[in-house]
Amino acid sequence: MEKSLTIARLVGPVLAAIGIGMLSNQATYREMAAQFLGGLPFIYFSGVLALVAGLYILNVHNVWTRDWRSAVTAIGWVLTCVGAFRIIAPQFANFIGTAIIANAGFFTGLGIFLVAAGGFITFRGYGT
Amino acid sequence: MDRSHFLAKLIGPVCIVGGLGMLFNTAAYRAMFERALHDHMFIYLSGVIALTLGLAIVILHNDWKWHWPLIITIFGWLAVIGGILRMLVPQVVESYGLSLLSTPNFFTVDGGIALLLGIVLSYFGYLDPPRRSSRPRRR
Repeated sequence: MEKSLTIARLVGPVLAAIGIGMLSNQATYREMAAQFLGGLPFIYFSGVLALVAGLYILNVHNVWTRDWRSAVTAIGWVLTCVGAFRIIAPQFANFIGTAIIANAGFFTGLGIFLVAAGGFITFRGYGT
Repeated sequence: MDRSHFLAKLIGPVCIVGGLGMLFNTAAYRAMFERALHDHMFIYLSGVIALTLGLAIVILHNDWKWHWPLIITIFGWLAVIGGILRMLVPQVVESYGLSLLSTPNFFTVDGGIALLLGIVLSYFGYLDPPRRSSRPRRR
């Protein structure tokens, strides 16, 4: 439980902050995402960091229980898969990402999801 | 889980994935590395992260005994040295990196080494329990 709380206290506020940024500053986020996707080195570099962070979470916390702790494990798996994909095929990450951000409602939808998920994990991490 | 196994579990898969990318996606990797080497800010930023991660490894794991965790210690020191060079002299890293990239088989050799290292570290990290590796080899 201690490890779940520590990871939740780190990951929750980061997700919530990204979500709030996406909702309140959408034009800048869209431009930033386009710049990010235009440079393969940044995609690769972010992949390395995501893979390390994901593997770290999965190695210290691989818990599938019927409570909020499964969300932390799921974040670990998402980071691991996204990181591996960005490292192996950065040009496909660029292709998919460009198609996704062309969708007008993408940042709103993802922003709401991240605020909800981040807020929930933060509440569990600091409120328990 | 001791520190060697934990670090091997983190570093091993990253080396495997990076090695596979170099071996099977060589054209994109070449273009990506050439672009990255022309960006001094990017070299500097990667240096900051390499130095931080390298110092974390070296501080937690500075084991120089002749057994498999030595790979992790060397990995940590290479990250420290590489990080310092990238932060201090990014232009030298650029010219050295571009000369390496001009070698025809660079990605095949580098990818092969990374893949091999990754497999070795993942094997010891995920399949070798701590008790077994700490057992004395000679009586």
